[in-house]
Amino acid sequence: MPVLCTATSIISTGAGATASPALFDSLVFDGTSMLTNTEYHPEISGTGQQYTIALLVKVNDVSNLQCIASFGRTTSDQYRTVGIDPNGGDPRFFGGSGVTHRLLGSTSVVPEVGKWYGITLTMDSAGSGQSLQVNGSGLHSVVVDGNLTNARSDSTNGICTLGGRYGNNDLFTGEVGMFLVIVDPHYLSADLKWLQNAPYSTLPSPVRTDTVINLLDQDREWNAANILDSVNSHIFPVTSGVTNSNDTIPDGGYSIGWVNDGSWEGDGVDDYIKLIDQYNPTTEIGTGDFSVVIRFKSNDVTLTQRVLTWGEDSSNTQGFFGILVKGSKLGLSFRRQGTYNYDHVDFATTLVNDTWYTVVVSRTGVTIDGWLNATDHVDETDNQGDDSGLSFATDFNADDHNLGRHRTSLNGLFLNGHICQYAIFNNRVLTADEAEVIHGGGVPHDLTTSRTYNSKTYTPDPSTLDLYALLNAGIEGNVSRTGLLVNRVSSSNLIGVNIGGTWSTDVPS
Amino acid sequence: MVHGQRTYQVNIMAYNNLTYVIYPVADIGNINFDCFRQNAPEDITDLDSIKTALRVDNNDANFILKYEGAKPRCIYGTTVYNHKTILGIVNDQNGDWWTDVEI
Repeated sequence: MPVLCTATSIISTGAGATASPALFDSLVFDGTSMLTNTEYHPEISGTGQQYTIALLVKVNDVSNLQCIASFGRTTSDQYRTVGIDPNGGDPRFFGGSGVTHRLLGSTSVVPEVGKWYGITLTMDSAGSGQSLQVNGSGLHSVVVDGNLTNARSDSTNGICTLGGRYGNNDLFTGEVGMFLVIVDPHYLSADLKWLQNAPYSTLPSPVRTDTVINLLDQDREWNAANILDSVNSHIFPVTSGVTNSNDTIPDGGYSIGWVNDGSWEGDGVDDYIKLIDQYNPTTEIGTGDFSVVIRFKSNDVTLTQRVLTWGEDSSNTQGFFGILVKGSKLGLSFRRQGTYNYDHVDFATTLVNDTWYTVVVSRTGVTIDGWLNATDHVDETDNQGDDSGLSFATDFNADDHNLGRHRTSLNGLFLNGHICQYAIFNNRVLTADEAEVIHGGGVPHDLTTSRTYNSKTYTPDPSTLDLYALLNAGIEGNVSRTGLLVNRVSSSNLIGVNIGGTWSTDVPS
Repeated sequence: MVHGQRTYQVNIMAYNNLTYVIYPVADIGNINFDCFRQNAPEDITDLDSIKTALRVDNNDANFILKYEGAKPRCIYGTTVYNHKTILGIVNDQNGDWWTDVEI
């Protein structure tokens, strides 16, 4: 539940804070009060200092000048602020040294009431390359030379505020779901791209734990003794714990509108989704155990169609894994790296047109298990390349990775149907029980409230979820055009490009 | 359809209104892709790039375009197909658009 930040809030200032508040998802600021912490004042000053201030905020007012967060006391301290400027009816986010010294300018993003935004304010090592970014790098950003090398929030002048600036000025009306400060030497704006699709459960690995400080750890006080936390052990307020109601979880921190449900639809002629190089798992998929989940349906099950294609260049240097509709059956195909023969196994179920199916495939060692709608099970064991058994690809991260199409270098086998979800678990073997949970009896998971972190709906251990794609990203966006990106949920990058498909509101029911 | 408290919309097939044409790869430079559903390949002189963005037949001779509404001027004179017809063409196992698979 959100915590209302008022003068009587249990969240107190500095040392000696009162008892820890109940778990919360976000801090709610009503425009009448703010949080002040005089105990925590990271050094973000001095020439050569690098830092990033990261915020996840929901905007409830765009008509007044507001400071969301700040370090320092006065303009003479060259303090840092992030806020909203009504800008004469054309509101903008700003970052800079104080609300009257918005040296960094504002972004092109127009803050809208009721939506969440990921914001970063960074300074590079030279102390001059300042960047304010909203909803992630590459979408909307401004980079200006603010020459803010003397800003500080140090032991003398240090004060950190949230929901306003020092002296109860320019108070913020909205919510803050996350507040991070990353200090020297980690100026890593690229690693903060996860804010583009925030929230996430973990930070990118290059960020050192001792340089990341989350000031809004939900189960801790606003208290200097407790606010320091490390990334590895830390759970973000917005993604943590079973007691998190998630009722204020951001779902709108995007530049495009989102709807509750949806799927991608291919026409069977030339539409597909191509996973791109930006999808870059830290571990090669296919070299060890893995699982995939895909939910799809076909408009004509008599056609031969690829639902999923991994790997297999012309010389098969990477091996192959695919899911295929052929002859009204669903099959799993494998091709060992460097070998000629495919191995293939069909599910027993006779597919029906325009009917959603949940496919779960797990590879463990030399055995493959597949479940169609949880109940139709196939399993095979590799016979070392013998065509009587299954062989396994060894590296699916290279070469093609397509949804709804065969290998890009080949023609044909486009899916005439829908895909609504796609997930990869690396180094994890999903079980029959989990396949049943995932299938959910045909009832879709509640993606309305959890779509940005719905790995929880798949497994109690989402750490091995390497990719999760809810294919509804473009429903309210620019449909059916090449270049429309498909968001990757579980990490920082976008996973692929929609090559012509249509975004549909159709989902399993 | 209702699941719990949530209502799902039933999708209306999106492709009923699309019109498809088959066009020579050699003439791809004549195409104004703003008029079509597909975006232009990154490099229209590179066949791999063309194959990434467009469906090309087995002879690398023709590709498929699709549009909605009035026929774009740049493809005047070409035969048009509806979705059902083009599916029949590309899935003709004896045709130039079919890719056989061993599995």
